[in-house]
Amino acid sequence: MSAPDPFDALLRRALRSHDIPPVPPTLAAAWRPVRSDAGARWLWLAPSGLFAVGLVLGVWLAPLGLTAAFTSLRATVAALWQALPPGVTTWGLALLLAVAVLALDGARGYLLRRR
Amino acid sequence: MEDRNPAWQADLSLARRAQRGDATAFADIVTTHQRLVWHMAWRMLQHRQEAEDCSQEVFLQVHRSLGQFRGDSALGTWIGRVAFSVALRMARKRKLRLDIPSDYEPEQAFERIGSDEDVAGAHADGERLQALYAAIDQLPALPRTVLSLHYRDDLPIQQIAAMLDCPEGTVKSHLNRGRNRLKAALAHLEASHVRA
Repeated sequence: MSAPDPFDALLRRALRSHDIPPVPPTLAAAWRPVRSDAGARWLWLAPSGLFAVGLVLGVWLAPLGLTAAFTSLRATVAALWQALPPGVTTWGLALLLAVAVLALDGARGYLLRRR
Repeated sequence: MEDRNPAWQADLSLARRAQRGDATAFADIVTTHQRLVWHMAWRMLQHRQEAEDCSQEVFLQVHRSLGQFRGDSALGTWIGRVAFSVALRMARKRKLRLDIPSDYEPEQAFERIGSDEDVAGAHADGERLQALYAAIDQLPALPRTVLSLHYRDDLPIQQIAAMLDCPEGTVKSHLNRGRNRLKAALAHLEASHVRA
């Protein structure tokens, strides 16, 4: 059996102590699965769900004599609507829409964070 | 075919899960083998940004072609082969010197090593290591990578040959030539010290 070459030992030491930059953390991070919005698919069902609930409630409430109350409420809203100047209505609607979108987005984010 | 030990079985099962679209399994593969990929990319390219691009490209290719992995070799060897092929393509694109030329002169390497070194103190162990570091950096990409995989990562010649997709004799040749070149550079440095 031949004796080990001392140069081999030196070379091993040199290569082991020779600096190689650490693995960049971005390498593994790029492949780490992120929490996917796909898991919250049910959120997309929310409008149709709300519609279905409304339909059921409507059908259920109508015979209870609440139709008149709904009609009255609708008339009040329509009267208020007509009382507003046209410019204010448009801006009000736009503002309402923006607030609704922000609220929905906030609620969605909150629900996703809680999952 | 490599030894089918428990680690090999674990790798295979991880690969199968990743093939079925389990993103966590693929992230585990990246975490397990990123050091080897990064090491090979760095040794081949010696450039941080390019080594990083190369490593990402490697895992992209691994992700795309994981379906082709049949477990004939260890997953690490298969990924190492992808890493080597991507790094080699990038090194060729950069027109890097890959192998040791046949008309190699140790003095040329020594001149580069000696330029920043205190030759009078070259016998000191630390300085010999410093000289070796410089000589390793001056080696062409292939012997540098092969030496590093063998001496630093303790990979057997058979596995390095599988990664480089070449006969074991070629790996031995890279090892010998790289080793001789470093030895010659160091001997030259020490001879200069004796003359001084």
